[in-house]
Amino acid sequence: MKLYKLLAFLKRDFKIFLSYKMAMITTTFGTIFPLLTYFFINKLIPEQTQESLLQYGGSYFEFTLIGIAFTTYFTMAVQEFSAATRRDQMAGCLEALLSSQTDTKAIIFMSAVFKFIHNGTILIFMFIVAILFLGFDISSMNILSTILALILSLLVFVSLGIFSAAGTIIFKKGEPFGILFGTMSSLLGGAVFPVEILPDWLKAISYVVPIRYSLDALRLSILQGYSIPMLSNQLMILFFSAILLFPLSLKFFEWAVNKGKREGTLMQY
Amino acid sequence: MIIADNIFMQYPMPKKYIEYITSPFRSHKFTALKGVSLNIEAGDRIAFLGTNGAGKTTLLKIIGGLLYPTTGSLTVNGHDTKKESLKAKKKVGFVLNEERSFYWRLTGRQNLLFFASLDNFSGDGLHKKVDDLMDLVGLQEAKDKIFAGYSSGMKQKLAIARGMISSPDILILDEPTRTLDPISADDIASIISKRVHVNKDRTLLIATHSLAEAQRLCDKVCFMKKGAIVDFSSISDIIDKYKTLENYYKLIINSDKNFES
Repeated sequence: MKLYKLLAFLKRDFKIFLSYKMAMITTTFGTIFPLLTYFFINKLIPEQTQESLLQYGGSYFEFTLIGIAFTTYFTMAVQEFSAATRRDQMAGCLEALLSSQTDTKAIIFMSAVFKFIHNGTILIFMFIVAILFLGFDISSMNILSTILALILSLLVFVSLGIFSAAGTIIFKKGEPFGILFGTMSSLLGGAVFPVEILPDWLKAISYVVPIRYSLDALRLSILQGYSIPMLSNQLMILFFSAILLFPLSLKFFEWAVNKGKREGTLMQY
Repeated sequence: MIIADNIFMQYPMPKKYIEYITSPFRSHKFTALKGVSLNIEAGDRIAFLGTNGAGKTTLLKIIGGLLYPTTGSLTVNGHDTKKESLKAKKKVGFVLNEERSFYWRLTGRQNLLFFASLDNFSGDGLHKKVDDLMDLVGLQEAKDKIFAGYSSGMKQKLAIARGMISSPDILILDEPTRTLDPISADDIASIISKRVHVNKDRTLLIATHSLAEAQRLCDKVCFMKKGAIVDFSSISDIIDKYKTLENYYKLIINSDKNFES
């Protein structure tokens, strides 16, 4: 993948993003309201009373902010590849993109990068607001383990996203991965409550939901300053999920594109 | 040089809900191309004629690497369009007839800069290339206008400019004047004949319903009917024999058997 091609995609998406002025304002500032909502919900829950929250420091607001912010980001990572594919299908540009001299996989990947950067900026903005105005405490944060947890998580969710894009090419609409991820992560991933409070049978299912390990590792590294060795369980699970899912997702995507080209359905939506 | 060898193309057809129960493993298929074999030399200018659904666009999309044949193979300058997709596409320019194939909120120039980057242009070379192409199709004055504000003729000119980015050996035009008024259609045809076809080794493949356009821009005709090539002749031979392309066209359309001119 060549850097100037990636820059061309970023320029394209940034210019289109700027051209929708109202959407630009609402997507950026709309993030503050859920932040405030969870801040005030936190006032109903006295600190140090929920045993399951204690391992993360005891604050429901800090627990939920990390849960919501990163679940939103990872959900975007899962859905954006298929969303970008579908946007180009519906805009009529996919055929023009695929007739260019750039590899199909690179096109799909580069089409999604702007959204990763944009949503990443919003994520940082949310944390800055929380730190400056809402008392979110990052004084114990272990930067190295946080970055590693984030990178490994992104690899896992990007892989699921590529599966999802392949699903969009095959099924057009209603692809299963993004929907499954979105609905399962808030219940089983522990986005807004610790999975420890789930009944045993649901807790057992939550062990196969990768976002559980991502959120756990991010919370412990940001709020409690856990080092890489202290997070070895979570990080190893994410690492092995990534090295299994990433190559598989690329193969599956390639198969889906070839199937679409063979059956003439690539441009249909 | 393009060599097509016994190409079949089948599209899956949607099933009715009841058929998922009554015959879950049976699939319906529509055969768009039936055993197409073709040999196109460098510099040929070929008009693909035939009624809607004859298979012209499907064949051109296979040549352009946008579709893979169900069976059979197609090579462009020795490269298989499926196995060596990027190499085969390197010297093929595709002018899509779809007005929506550009980003409407970007200017014409921004659109072209984007697509030229995908065709491996960067830095000063990229900007020079795009300016040259804007000149080529006569859009220099409208280059900074938002694409949504372009007329159909301007959109088609931009599509030709995009098809010309890699200075292709083979330029495919899928109904380039379909949505245009006669004046704009004439303008597009002039650009193709006077500016695009200055390189006599450049192969032009044009799917069209306009016989006047075919006669003006091409020297050969590939006539398709129900997914098969029923005739491949030089236009001069056709005119010698049938006086006009219209006579020839009507004769083939009304003939049930395979046709040979």
